[in-house]
Formats: sequence, C-alpha cells, structure tokens
Amino acid sequence: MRAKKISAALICYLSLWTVSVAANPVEHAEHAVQAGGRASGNASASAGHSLAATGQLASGVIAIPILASGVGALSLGSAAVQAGGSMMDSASRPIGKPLPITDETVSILPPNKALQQSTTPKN
Amino acid sequence: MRKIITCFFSFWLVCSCALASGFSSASTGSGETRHFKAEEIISFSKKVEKTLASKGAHVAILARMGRPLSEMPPGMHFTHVAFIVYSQIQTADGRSFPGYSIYNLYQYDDRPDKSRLVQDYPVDFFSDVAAMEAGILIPSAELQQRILKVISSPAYQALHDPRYSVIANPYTEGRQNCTEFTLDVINSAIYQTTDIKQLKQVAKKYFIAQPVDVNPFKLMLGSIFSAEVATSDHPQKPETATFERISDYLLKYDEGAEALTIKP
Repeated sequence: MRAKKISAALICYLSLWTVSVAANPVEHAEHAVQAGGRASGNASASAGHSLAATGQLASGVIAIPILASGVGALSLGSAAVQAGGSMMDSASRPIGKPLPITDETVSILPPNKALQQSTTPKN
Repeated sequence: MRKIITCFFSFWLVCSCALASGFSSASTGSGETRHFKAEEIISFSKKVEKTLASKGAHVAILARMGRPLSEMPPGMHFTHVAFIVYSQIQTADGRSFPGYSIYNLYQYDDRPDKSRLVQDYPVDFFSDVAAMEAGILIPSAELQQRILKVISSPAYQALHDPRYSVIANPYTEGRQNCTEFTLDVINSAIYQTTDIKQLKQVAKKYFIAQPVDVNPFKLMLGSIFSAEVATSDHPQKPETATFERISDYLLKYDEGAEALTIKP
C-alpha cells in the first residue's frame, strides 16, 4: 500500500516536472525566433527612462521623412511640406551623397510628456 | 505498477532529450547577454546614424540582436528588422534637426499574437540589445525612393496584418512578423502595388525564406502553449523571412544595394 502511494507520488512529481520542462523550452523558442518586437516594446519603455536619466536625450515629438531629390514621397499639405525651409535644403541632397545629421540623440517621448503635447507622434 | 513507472520514466526521458536538443539556450558562456550602459547605447546608436548619413542613405533596413546568438536557431542572427528613414525631427522643446527615425512592427506586450506599427529612434531601437551589432541593408537609390513613397502613403498601413506569429510564413497571408512586413513593403515598392496576393506570388517566386530548423515536437508545443507561435500559415515545413534572406534577395535583384554590419 505504501509502495503504491510512493509510486503515485513519483508519477505525479514527474508529470509536473515534465510539463515544466516542456513549457520552458517553448518560452526559449519564442524568444529565440521572435522578431524581437515585444522585447523591444518593453525595452523602449525601460530604456527610455534609464537613458533619459542621463540627460543626453532630446524627446522626439514627430519625425517626417525628408524628401530625396526629385521624389514626391509626401503629398501636398503633409506635415513635411508644411515644415518648409530646412526640409527643402535637405531635400536638395540626392541619395548616395553624405547627409547632414544632428549630434543630438533623440528618443521617443515618455507617455506622460506626450500627453502634455498638443501634437502627437504618428504611431 | 513498476511497468507503469518504467514507461512513464522512459517517456519523460525522451521528452527531455527532445526538448534539450532544439534551442541551445543552455550555452550562455559567450557573454553576449550583458546589459549595456546608457552611454554605450547612445554612442552605438549615433554611430549607426552617422554611418548611414555618410553613405547618403535616406532609407535602409536595420536589424538588431535582441537575443544572444547562442539562443538563436541555425541560420538566424538578428531578431528584429525595421526601416530606418532619414527625417526631419521635431523635439518636445521646439527644435528641429535632421536625423533618423525607425519604422517598426512591434508585438503588443499584453497580446503577443497581435502587432502594431510604431515609430521610434535608434537609441530606442538598440536600448535592450543582447549584442552591440547592427545589420544594415541599403537599397539602391531607386528602391530607396520607392520605399520612401510607400512609407509616406496609406499603403504602409494597408500592408500591415496585425495577426502576429514569430515564425510567420512570408509566402502566405494570415500571419505576419516584422521581417515579413519588411519584405511586403519592399515588394510593394518594387512592384508598386498593395495587392497582397500579388506580393505573395512574387515572394514565392523570387524570395528564398529561411527554414525554421526547430524540433517538430518543440514547434508543436510552441503552437499549443504560446499565442505568438502559429503554424496555421505553414502548409508545409515552416519557413520565415530573416534579415539575412532579405539581404540575399536585394543583393541579387536590386543592383546597387549594399549590406554591412556595424559594431562599436
């Protein structure tokens, strides 16, 4: 009788262990083949806070693709066209030639700051 | 009773071996899983931006290593791919300057089988990488112009399928991950269409996907236990798009395309 109880307990234990082992590699599988999007989503939030603490980041409110020479990438009336001056200077630069770029480091705006903005980012 | 125990123990042993032989998550001795300091992330992100700017790239495909290489299946190196676009950036304090913005397909944190399109910046993109290495694919000037046109139009949103799977099949509809979305946008730009059926036909004919070399038993468990692993869009052996295979595709068909890797 006691042997049966021990056997039942052993089976129960091994069952749980097997399920646990079976589940963990699946988790690894997800991580290993995943596109990284979810990890990044978490990372964006955490990094945003930790990096912002360095005081080296500017918060980007909006980013509009700069037109390459001769390309009508954006429709009339879009924010890029409305942005005017400096945008058109950059637009005169063809693809393949060195482009001017800021030394500033830009990060996405934290949600609490974004809520205070009248203009919201695209996504 | 002894027979039952023996049978069960055998089954347990077989299961354990099968599971252990797939992903090599046990080999963590490479030191790839370290976390980086904020200064390192900022410096590396800026290096990526400056490299792209020096090459005059308005649009490129950017990849990162979100997981240590030791945990990746054979043939896969990078975990996430997105478009990086030369942009005019306006900041919260009212300044405006040229830089790069990134167009991502990300999973929802609380709904891993769903995705959304998110725009962020290089420092956000590389904020939690497992290794400081960026894969970059710069299309030809002609294709950059066409991709820019797609990204700046409603076609970009139209190509997004929010039903997510980490191993989405680039040849079929129904599930999409970041690499399949990237491929769809590229092909939409090349063929100047948003007809998804046509885009899938093109992919099937010209794009060579990466076989998902995962133990079938593990894959079955993955599809059962994990919402973000789906095999429903795989009529045959699972295949998926990767940065490497997209690079192969453009280097073959897009004359003038350039692939490079950036490290600190």
